[in-house]
Amino acid sequence: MISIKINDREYQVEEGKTILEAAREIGIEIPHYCYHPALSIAGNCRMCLVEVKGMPKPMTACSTRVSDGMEIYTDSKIVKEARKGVLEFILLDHPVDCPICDKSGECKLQDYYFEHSAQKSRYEFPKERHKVEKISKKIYLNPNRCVLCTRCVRFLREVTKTYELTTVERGSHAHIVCVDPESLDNNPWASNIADICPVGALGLNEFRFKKRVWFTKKVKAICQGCAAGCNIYVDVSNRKQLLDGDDDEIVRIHTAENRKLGQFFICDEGRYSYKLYNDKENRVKSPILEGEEINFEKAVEVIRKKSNVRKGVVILSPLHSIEENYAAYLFAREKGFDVFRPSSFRKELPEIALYMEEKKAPNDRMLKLMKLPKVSEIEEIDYDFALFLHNVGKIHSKSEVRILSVLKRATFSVVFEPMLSDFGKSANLVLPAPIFVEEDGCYINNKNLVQHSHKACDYMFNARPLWEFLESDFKSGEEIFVRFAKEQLDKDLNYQKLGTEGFEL
Amino acid sequence: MSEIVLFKHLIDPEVRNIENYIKLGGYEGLKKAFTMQPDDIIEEVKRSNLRGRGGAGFPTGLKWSFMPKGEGQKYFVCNADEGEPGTFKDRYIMSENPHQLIEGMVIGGYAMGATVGYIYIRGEFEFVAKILQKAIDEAYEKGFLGKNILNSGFDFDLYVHLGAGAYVCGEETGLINSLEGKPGQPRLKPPFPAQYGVFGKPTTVNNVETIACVPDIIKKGADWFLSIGPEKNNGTKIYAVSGHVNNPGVFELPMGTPLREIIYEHAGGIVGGKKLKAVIPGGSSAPVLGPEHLDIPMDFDSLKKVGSMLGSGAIIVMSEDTCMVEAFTRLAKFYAHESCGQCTPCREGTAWLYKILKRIEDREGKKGDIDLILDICGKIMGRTICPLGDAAVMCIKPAVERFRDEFEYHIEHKKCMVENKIPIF
Repeated sequence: MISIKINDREYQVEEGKTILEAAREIGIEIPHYCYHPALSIAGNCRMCLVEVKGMPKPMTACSTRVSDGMEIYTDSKIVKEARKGVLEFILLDHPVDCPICDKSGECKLQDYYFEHSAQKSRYEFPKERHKVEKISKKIYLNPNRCVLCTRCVRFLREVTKTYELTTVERGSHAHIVCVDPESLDNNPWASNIADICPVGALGLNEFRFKKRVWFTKKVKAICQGCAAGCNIYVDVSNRKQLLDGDDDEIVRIHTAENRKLGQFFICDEGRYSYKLYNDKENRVKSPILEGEEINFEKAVEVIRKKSNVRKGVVILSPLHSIEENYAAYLFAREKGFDVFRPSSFRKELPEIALYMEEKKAPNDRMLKLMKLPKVSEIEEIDYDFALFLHNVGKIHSKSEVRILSVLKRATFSVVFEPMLSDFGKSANLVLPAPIFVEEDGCYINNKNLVQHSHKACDYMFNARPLWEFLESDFKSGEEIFVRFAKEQLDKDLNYQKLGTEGFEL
Repeated sequence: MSEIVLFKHLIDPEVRNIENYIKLGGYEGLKKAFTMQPDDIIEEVKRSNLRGRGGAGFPTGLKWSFMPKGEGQKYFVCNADEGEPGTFKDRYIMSENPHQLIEGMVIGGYAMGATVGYIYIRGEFEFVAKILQKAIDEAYEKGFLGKNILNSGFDFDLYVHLGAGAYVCGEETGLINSLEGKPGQPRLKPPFPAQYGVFGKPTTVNNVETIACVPDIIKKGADWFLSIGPEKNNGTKIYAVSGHVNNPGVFELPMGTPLREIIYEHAGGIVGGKKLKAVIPGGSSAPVLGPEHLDIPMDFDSLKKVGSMLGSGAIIVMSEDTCMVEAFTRLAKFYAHESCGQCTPCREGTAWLYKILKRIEDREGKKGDIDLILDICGKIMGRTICPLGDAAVMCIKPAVERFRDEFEYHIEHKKCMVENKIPIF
């Protein structure tokens, strides 16, 4: 550790860090466009200029490393002046079309302009205009809004190593072009360039003109697509500010970073998976008993009666959270029922896999850590009562067959799931499960990181968490999680202790 | 006639042939170098006070000493991308006296332990590149290049690499990127080329004229070099004089020759006996000077004292018939055109400066334009990745300040202050 001064206050920071990173850890944000923690340093936007005592000119915080005794000023007159200058330069050729720009509300240019400049442009010449074009099936490019930070170019060069974008021409004519739209179409990570674009130059065709970001609620969640446990932001249309009648619809999924995981991007498969959850038609809207919709109280009563048997089974799910699974597990333990787990669905990884995991279930590791037997070990017996937790997504097909036969042969079978599936259709009682954005839930990823996925909206229709149907004493999912951590992990954990980046087992 | 170090073709016009070059004592420096330890060569160059002739005037020996010692691939690169407006000195060394550059390259390579050298030459100098290549072939034949040079055990290969026409490739890291086949965009420093240069290996980049001084320094010793020119500004310098003079051309003179002597004696005075209005002393990026500076010794330190710089030693002379608005609008266009487009202040600022200057020149200037220009200059200076942005400012800002009345006259009266103007660029 070395000691540095930022704005006359002393701090201890790690040696070898850049000024920007050191300041960020302390909580001082230095404005920037081209810097991205997962990409090489370009130093081209010049927005992060800071004053370093003893240096003849302002230094780029993104590329200058801290040294012992360094005195840095991030808000001096010179720095403010430099930022103002850079903003004016960037905006020279910018169309300032915020009212029709999808990035509006989360645009760094907009933010910094109001924060650091807010002055009228002195540029009086015609602005250079380029055509807005769809550079792939997924992405459009508006070169007029581009600040040439080259984050997108560097991402495709350094992360996916596919080189679809590049800058061409010199001076003020420089701009970004796509040299291989087909490759971009097939790049399973391509849509990240829309996320990392600090301005409105790159966007997703799917999100274009769809929603103003201030009419959405953004929460940090865990991707449900595989066992990697990537951090995502889920934007849900905000019921309270509803203008167009959408009701708690997931508008988009985009990248959140988790430095503990070294994860800064998400795959397109995960990103576009939100469509599965927006399927309102197939949603189990109320408990369904033998084809008839019933209310919550009646469902609870039915379960109480039908589960009062000796031979019962509960099959947990790698597709559900710790909370839902452990509630079911405790229920089974109390009743003396058998507990099994299905195998995860596996998928071959694409060439550019990055963080993707073969196992396509977010909570596979939890059930493995509990050392539960697999459904393949179920002996051919007819149960009096069977409960299966199912969710959006797939489990291994052999497991599917086995579970279906268990459900069919049971005297009374219950399936807890959000969308009506073959399991639900073959069960006596279907319980409306919430989708992942409707409740807080924890997941353990393939690297043994316990992470908390946040609730973004209320339960839709008559969906309820499983423990409520099972009449347990828990008042919240967190209580179940605390108990799970204590009993199964021997750890004293709660949501707060998991923090934003999770807890490593 | 003063001492001739670089322009040996003035002694023997056929010195570009290796036989003639050897007859004039060529490759003696190299032979002597092989009797010395590499570190002693660097020490000798340091002691000679040889300073970079490309513009910055950085001590050459010191630059060489930044190279890491020991094994591992290292490169020695000659910057022959002579692109600064007004500069045309290196091409004469290369086309008339190429072996002196080659000899300097081998000595430098030996001193720094670099076994491969590149001469990065601007694309427009294709004919010079051919002459160079012929000279390199001759040197290979005579055993001054290649494996085990003169039985010293030292190997050195030399390649000529043609640029593709970008001023910014004269900046050493832009040059390195271009040499690697990448777009000619300067790199962030640090790391400096001595740590991370061509293909990521330690590299030193020197100007043609600088390297061509080395053989004579080694052959005759640093003391001889120190005997030429004023203190800390030693050696001869090639001054390239252009503009409104009777006898434009290149002149090898001792460093520190007064500006007046260069313009009025060597370059034959101003055309038509007109008065001097302005003079750019070191290529277009050097702040412009006026007639009151005529007695300045043309060396690094003296010019720095008056707020300008020796730069490449390219002297652009402007008579009283020059329209300063026209001249500097043309130069502003050059910088806007040559900006690589990588970093914000230079990319946007140089283009904006040119547009405003063009507006003034086109008699459409607005009140406040001059202050706007000066303000923009302040927002570029010192804020860019490489010195191109700074160079544009150092060219435009002093000109606008010094000749502010001319610019204001253009804006106010919608016409030029100079009648019967003679174009300069």
